[in-house]
Amino acid sequence: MNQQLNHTRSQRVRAAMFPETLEEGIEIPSTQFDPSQPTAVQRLSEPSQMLKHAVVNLINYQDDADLATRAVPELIKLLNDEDQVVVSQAAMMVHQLSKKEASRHAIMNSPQIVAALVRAMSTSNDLETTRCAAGTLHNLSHHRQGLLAIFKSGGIPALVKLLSSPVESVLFYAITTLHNLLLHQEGSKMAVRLAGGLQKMVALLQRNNVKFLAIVTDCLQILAYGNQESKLIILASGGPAELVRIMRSYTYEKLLWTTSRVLKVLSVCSSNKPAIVEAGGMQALSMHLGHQSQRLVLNCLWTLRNLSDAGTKQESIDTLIHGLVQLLGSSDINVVTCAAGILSNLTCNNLRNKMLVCQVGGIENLVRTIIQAGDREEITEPAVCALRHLTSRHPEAEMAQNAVRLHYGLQVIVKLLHPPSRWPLIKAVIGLIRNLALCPANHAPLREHGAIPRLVQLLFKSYQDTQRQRSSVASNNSQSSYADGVRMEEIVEGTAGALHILAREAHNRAIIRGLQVIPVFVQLLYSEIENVQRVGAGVLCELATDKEGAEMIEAEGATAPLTELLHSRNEGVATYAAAVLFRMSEDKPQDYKKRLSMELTNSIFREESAPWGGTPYSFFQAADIDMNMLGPDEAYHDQIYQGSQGPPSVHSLGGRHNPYAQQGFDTQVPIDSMQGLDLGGPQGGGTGYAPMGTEMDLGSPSDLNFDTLEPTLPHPSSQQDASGQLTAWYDTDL
Amino acid sequence: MPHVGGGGGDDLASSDEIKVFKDEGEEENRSSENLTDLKSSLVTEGEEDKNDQLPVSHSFSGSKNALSSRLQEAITTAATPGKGFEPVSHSTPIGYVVSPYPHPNGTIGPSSMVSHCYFLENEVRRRLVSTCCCVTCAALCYLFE
Repeated sequence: MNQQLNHTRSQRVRAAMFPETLEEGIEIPSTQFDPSQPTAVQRLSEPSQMLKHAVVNLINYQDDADLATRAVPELIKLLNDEDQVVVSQAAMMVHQLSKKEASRHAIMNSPQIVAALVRAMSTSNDLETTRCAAGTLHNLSHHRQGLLAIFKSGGIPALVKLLSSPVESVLFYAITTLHNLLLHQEGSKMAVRLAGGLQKMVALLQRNNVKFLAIVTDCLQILAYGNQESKLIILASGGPAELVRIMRSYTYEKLLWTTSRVLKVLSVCSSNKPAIVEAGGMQALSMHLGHQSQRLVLNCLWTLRNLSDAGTKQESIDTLIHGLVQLLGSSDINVVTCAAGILSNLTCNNLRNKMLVCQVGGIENLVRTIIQAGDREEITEPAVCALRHLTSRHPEAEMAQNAVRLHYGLQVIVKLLHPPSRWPLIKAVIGLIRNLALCPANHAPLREHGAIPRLVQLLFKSYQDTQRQRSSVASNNSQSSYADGVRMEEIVEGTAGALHILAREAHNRAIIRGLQVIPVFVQLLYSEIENVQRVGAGVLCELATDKEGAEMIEAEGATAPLTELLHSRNEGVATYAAAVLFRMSEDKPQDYKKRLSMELTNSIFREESAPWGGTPYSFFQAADIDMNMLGPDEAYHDQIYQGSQGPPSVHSLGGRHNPYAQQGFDTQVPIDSMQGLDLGGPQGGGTGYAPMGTEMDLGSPSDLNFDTLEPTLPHPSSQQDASGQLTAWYDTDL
Repeated sequence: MPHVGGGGGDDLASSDEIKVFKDEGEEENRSSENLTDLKSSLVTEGEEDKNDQLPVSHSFSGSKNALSSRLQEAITTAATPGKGFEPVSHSTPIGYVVSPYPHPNGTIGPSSMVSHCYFLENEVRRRLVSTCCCVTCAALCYLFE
């Protein structure tokens, strides 16, 4: 029995695994004794069947691969045949083979067959050949080896050529294969560019299949990213207009997304930027700011921000501005950052945009954004810049200045003057505070939040930095002290300017005086930069309103530099300088005042300088005031003009030639500059300027008749002493 | 006229400043991967349209007998005698057919030639894992030695 069982064991295994090999009719005795206990062979039966099937399939696969490998040399010959029909058939066969996994590998592994395919694709007139070859390459392009084979066989120029095909299937094979190459095959980008792919792809943007367009635009993005030359080619081919048109016309999200990315990449190119803007790009992008696709919204915002400096003159961007003000409330930091940056640029020197932002609640949103941003400077800096623009130079500026306070913005803004704020943010805040101080209602709150001491501290620091920079650079004074890309001269000017406006209020002036900063202001008068001279003279002018201030200023030796500045070709500088000198002269003896008057007048009539195109009205006002102080007995004007050819006073009439007539007299500026002076204005804090206390009669320039001015004028009043040294007018040694 | 800053009476205010942004973003090639579906869909669309629009492709006709016979010949010489378990020797590396994963029973037979084809790898792995048991794996190894 055992022997018999042993003999049949292999048969039993064979029967279990390969029942199909059994001869018919043969019965293999089972060894099962207990029906509930299957034998070992029985237990193995099912798994062994499964294994068998697995191995069979593998071997079939192997067969397929084998088959294809053996067929490849033949196919190559056929593809290279002269007979186009043969070629066509071979191409079809290869295409079929390429659809199956195993045979695809055989094809990929044969450089010759790939080359033959590429050649057939390029040279054939037969559509089927082209289509099948392209289809094969498409299948190969899903594998790294396939991509490499296509690339090495010169497949890219051939595929680019197919982008002109009128047959959609061919076109779709070509573009998808190229896209795969661009994504995964090194060297493809350059090859596509060299083959003229960019121009063709831009031309393809005219088609209207949205999926196709998405692939094309994605190709363009890959090619253009970081490559200036590609961007210029796209521009030259009319890309911007087509891309903008797509943004305007379609709603398919993937296409909008890929297109917005191309525009983003192009928008950093200074040549593409204006083209995109002119094509209506900003308006088109703003259509999608409310889209639910976050990636689309973000790409539109980044693009808009890149474009924004070129878009300040754009009309019809109301939708955009509305949208941006709303987006300030987003929970996405990137969205808020972009929105603030775009608003900052769009409100730069643009009256209409400033007013629109104010009207749609921009001030409130910006203040809230700043409060919520904490120390995130990427948000606070553009938001502060936007507020700075909104609080100046437009009809609603004063409303805006008030609104910042009403929305509880002052405290957080002053806080941003302190660490950890870096210089760019600090600079922006200083500018904003200067504007906010133009509104009198903000004077006290700004003071209460500690703006003044901090501004003075910043002035000290920045001024010291500039001085250190000057002394360290031996002879070259043109270098500036930079920190985080900000010049310290800008901080000096900004802080002094802010203090200038804050000093309109008496309490503020007292604080400023107490901070020992007047010496620095006086030093600013020596600066080579006109704007710095101007803010220095301006803040001193305000501080000189108070007697204590005037005294402190004089004690710092301001008279000399101020006298120099009388001759400045900058009218604002000269005007402020004159005003300070006057205020400082209040308690002085009469002859001092006379000499001051003469000095002022002489400054007016200096022959070598008359750059304003007309005598500043302000100087005549100054002279006029002095005349009043001297009293009607003093023939002031006679004294001044003694020894000359008898020029008339400014008030006399007569038909004398006006040497300034040719240069013209601008009626605008003098009045405006005078308004800034507030000389003897109502807020002057109780000083002894009673005669000047009456408001300056600005009147109109036509009151003064310049026709009577004499061409030859007296020289400066400084006299020479015995040693030949010039003495200044304020030298009291009489 | 000298420029006294800004416009009319606002020369005391801060001047507006523009800032140039040049943010090109990062090279987002990775995110292009979700266009894969798009590409397949597009190609399918093209093929379907082709079937609708283009004339029926050439079929093997008398004049093409030469071609078909040549191919037949090539195929015949490549054909193996029958599907079975004869070990197939391959001179050229085609791909691997053995799971690359280490096996408790010892190393797998001949060195596997790993191809870049993930499909094959997964297929083999799937099938082996689903049938795995020591005895059968050992049998498989024998077959491919």
